[in-house]
Amino acid sequence: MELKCENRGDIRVVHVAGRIDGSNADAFGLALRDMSGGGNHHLLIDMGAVPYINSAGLRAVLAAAKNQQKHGERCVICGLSGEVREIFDLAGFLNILQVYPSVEEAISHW
Amino acid sequence: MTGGVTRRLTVPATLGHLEALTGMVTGLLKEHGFPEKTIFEMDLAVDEACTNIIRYAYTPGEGEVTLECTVTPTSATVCIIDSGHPFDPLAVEPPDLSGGVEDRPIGGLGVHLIRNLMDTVTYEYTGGKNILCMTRFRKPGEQSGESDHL
Repeated sequence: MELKCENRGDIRVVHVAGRIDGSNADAFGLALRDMSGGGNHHLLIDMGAVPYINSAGLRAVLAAAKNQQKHGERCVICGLSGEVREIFDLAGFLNILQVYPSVEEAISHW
Repeated sequence: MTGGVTRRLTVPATLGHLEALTGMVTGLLKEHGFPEKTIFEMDLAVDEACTNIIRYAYTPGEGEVTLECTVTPTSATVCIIDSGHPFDPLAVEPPDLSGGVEDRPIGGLGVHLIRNLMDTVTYEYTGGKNILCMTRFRKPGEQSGESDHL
């Protein structure tokens, strides 16, 4: 599992790659928190290279969204694969998070 | 083939062994030509159940987890056995999925995913052991027999 980030204007884009399961979800949550900029930027989480996520990974995404909201900043998700999108759906996350197919589409709809 | 093929693995209950557990299940399902979607869902159900056991069933660093995976032409079943504290995941209340980001509780999603992704889930506590069994049937039209993928 790897995270990389870049700034696109006032949007912090975090690119996530790899499987997020019980063995690394805590590390994912910590890395996401470090990279999200402490609520000083809008946050776009690019999950285009994530083939798999479990509930602990979802919790980390929810925690990031809560933190963004607390600071009055947005948290948007993009790039979900079919299976990962189904897990987001089952968890009810598609009702509470904005999701776009790609980084470019997310930014163009900002 | 009328019977099933069973594979069994016992490992120490640590997160470092999680990949061996999920890998055994996904490997067996792949060998028997289950669809990618079923393999993904079984992978997730085993990950969720085993992560719970590893985190909460024992004093950290103690105990073992045993996994038995049986595939037949019509189904895949995984039974997960531990000797930790009695815990019935089926008794866990479904999470409240209404409300916005701020209201959404952190947690409770793992069991919810298992219940939604598996066709049957049974739990028993017997002889000092938690036994959780999860089955996913092959749906009509799903690929069966050996995989065509090379």
